[in-house]
Amino acid sequence: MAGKAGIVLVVTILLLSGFSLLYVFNAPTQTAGGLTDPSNLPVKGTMNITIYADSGGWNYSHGPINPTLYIPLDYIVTFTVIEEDNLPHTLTINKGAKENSGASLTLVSSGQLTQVPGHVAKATYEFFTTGVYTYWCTFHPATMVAQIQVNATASNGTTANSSAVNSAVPFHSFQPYSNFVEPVSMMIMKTMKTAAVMVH
Amino acid sequence: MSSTGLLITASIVLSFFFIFLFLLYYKYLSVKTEVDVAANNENYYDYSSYLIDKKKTSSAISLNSFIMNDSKSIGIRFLITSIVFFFIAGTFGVIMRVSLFYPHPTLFAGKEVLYDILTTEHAILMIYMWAIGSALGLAYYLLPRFLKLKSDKFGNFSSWSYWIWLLGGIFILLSRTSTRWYYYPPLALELTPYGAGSMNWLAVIGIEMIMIGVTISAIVLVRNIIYERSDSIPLSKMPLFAWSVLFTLIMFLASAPFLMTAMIMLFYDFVNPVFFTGSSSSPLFFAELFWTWGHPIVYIAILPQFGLIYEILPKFTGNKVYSYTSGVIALGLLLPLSELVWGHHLMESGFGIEWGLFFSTASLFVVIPSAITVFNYIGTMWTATKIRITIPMLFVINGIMDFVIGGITGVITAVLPLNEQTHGTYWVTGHFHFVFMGITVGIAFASIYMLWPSLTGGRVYNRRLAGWHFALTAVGSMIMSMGWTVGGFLGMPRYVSGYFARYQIYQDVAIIGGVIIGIGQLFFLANLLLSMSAAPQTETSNALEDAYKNLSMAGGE
Amino acid sequence: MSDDNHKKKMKAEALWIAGFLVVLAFTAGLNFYITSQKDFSIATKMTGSNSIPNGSIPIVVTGYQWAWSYTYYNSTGKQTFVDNLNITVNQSYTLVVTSIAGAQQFAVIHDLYIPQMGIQIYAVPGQNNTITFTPDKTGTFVIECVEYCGYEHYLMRGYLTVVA
Repeated sequence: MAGKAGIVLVVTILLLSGFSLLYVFNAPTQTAGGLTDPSNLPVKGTMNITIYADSGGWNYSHGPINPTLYIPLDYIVTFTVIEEDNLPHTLTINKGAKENSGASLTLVSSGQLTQVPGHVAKATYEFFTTGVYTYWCTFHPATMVAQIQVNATASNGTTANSSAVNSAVPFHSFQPYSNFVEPVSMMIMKTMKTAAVMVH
Repeated sequence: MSSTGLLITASIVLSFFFIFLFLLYYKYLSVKTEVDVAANNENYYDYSSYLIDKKKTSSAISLNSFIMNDSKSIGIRFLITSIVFFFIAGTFGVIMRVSLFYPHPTLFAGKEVLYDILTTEHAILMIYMWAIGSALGLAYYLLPRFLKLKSDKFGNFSSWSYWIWLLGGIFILLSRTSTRWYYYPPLALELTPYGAGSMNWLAVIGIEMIMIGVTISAIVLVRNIIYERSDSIPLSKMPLFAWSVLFTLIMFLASAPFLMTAMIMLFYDFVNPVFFTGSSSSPLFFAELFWTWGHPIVYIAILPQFGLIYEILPKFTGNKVYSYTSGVIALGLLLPLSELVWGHHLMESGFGIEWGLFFSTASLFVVIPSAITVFNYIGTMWTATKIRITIPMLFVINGIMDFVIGGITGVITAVLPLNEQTHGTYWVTGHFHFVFMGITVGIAFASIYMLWPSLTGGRVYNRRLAGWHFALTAVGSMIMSMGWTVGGFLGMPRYVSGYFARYQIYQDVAIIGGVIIGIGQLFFLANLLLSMSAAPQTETSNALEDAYKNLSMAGGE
Repeated sequence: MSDDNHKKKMKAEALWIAGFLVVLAFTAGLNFYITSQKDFSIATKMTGSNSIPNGSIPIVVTGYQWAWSYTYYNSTGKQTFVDNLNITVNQSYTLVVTSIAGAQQFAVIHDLYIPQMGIQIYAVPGQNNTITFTPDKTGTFVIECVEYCGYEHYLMRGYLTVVA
């Protein structure tokens, strides 16, 4: 009896330690109530959005500060966040016109950012309900906050157009920061965005 | 997972659980009936007392220990469970240490909260499940022989206490909480992964259950020591381990209500935050309630082990303890002092210089009993004609050394100007890991090695493996705690999943030490496996339980 | 046990106790002496404006989840910095530290720690704590939060730059 008990005890200890570790590793690491994509969403197209993270405000030294983003429904949006200062930031969204007005989803966590200016982080998200969203940085909620307008009947032409142009330019597809490609693509991107805003 | 799949999984798990319960009940009936009949034939009121007087069969590790309600079985239950939790929490500790290899989070990049969960679980499980559990286990196991109990009543209360305590521990594990082990409220109330973890409320219930469970055990044990002690043993001749358990449990009973109250108020705050976040309140109120319990618990984790050192030392030095009286006085002095020093955890919270100086000076007084105790140990070894160096003795010597280092680093933290430099840094972590690794872990393992023949039904442990276990634990904890202590004095903050690159060298040294400790514990498992697979080779008696015999003996080592 | 042996043991123990009592008394004396020095400062709950010594520049430090913000008052108005703090050498500063709710639900407890300055002070919601210090060397030092305050606690850090 006691001989078997030893084996049982050792196996139990090893198994329980392993299971406990697995259980902890599966802990939720972010809240996303109501914002997580349901599976099998229809996809109408893709879209790229680039924003600069600066503690003074989104796109602080790149055109209008804290721009309102216009995003069509059911498009897979790739957010490209470029760091502008050496402070921690996040790209967090929630539904509603005010930050932190409900369950929030952090698209780009500060863990993905390095606090090195010029570093690029990406995240994709598909908005599957229309309405007003807020996007902000949890570290600088006072300055870095703006809205996202998700429209079901978005002017399809405009978004498709911008999507096509953006995918033609090989922008930010290379992780090593290139001094040459970046400014050029940024300029293109900025003009495109101003055009998009003007259309709306 | 769909809700149907969830239901199917839940029902399968529940079925297995109930099958297990049924088997346990089936086994319980047959075993208990057998012993009950035997006890009745011998005119015993209850089978626990009968077992203690007549039989030792139930004192080895087996499933019966989870069924029988006599003191020895309950002791083995607590001991086995605490070892299981020691390995669970130890795994957490090693993994979280490894994740700190680089200054920025790499293993847990993007989900740094996993580090916080691992740390919190490591702390809570090690303190409440391993330290308290192993102490209670050894107390239940050793006291009947130490005190020559007249009768062994209230076994069912002890059994209840065990299951409540175990369920509390499981709740804490399931809750995946990420507050620190001291639950500072406004954060503990944030039930999101960004705050305390979505299920932190379960951890609060878990702590409350652990406290209730241990309270029941404490009352049963105190009653055993005071009323059930044999008439042939006056208080003045009681073994020092019994004294240390008595003082520990009184300390527990005196300080536990503070935490239990605080936890009830905290739980109400989940529903309606009024107690610790209201306008006329302060989160520091909780901190004060918590540390009124939180400092005694630190002594509760080491005091029984101090008593065990007093019992183990004479077995290998062959002489009596240097001074029995001063030993009892020193252990007893910790009782009032433990309640006086809680403020030194909060010196930087805005207490100001008057409170700071009071608690700083009070903390210095704790040195007096600690120094008397250490002097007693050294004196016992000093006056011995010959010291037999064995594995338990090595653990004891290492424990005393670690306690001296840990104690001095602790006193340094208590000094007000240095507290500003060391509070909240790895200095503190190094300080209490010196003490806990040396005393709580080391002495518990020393006792387990002493009890080995009894626990395994007559097997002897493999000395080579046990030697490796000791060496790796001692060396690893020294490297780890030294890395922390040095880095902490230079300002390395505790409880962070990423740190300034200037501290990387200290973190990496500590990681090496931590991994060495982890490997060392595997030798203990290998030893358990190997020695228990072999046939019984020796008597099932052990030297540790013969509290009234001081000669060097071979049994138990 | 012989009586003589017992006396010897008592003597050794008494000597030991006397020995460390002397060490303890010395430590306690040093503790009182250093804390009575004029340049010693420890976190103290602010009760009125007299908590800020004459000639000391107040800096309001606010901790939220998860950043430090420093509001610096001078003759022209106020300036706010996030995470990093720039100050002048040999000038006395008084930090007024508190905690506010950031993007999360509550204001939680933080702990501001500047290891190279030996300064540590809790940021407690609903309470202003003050501490005074004078940097006496130039350079870049680190600022850390050493009380666990949630997910990004480890990033609640920055640099203290002391210029001449």
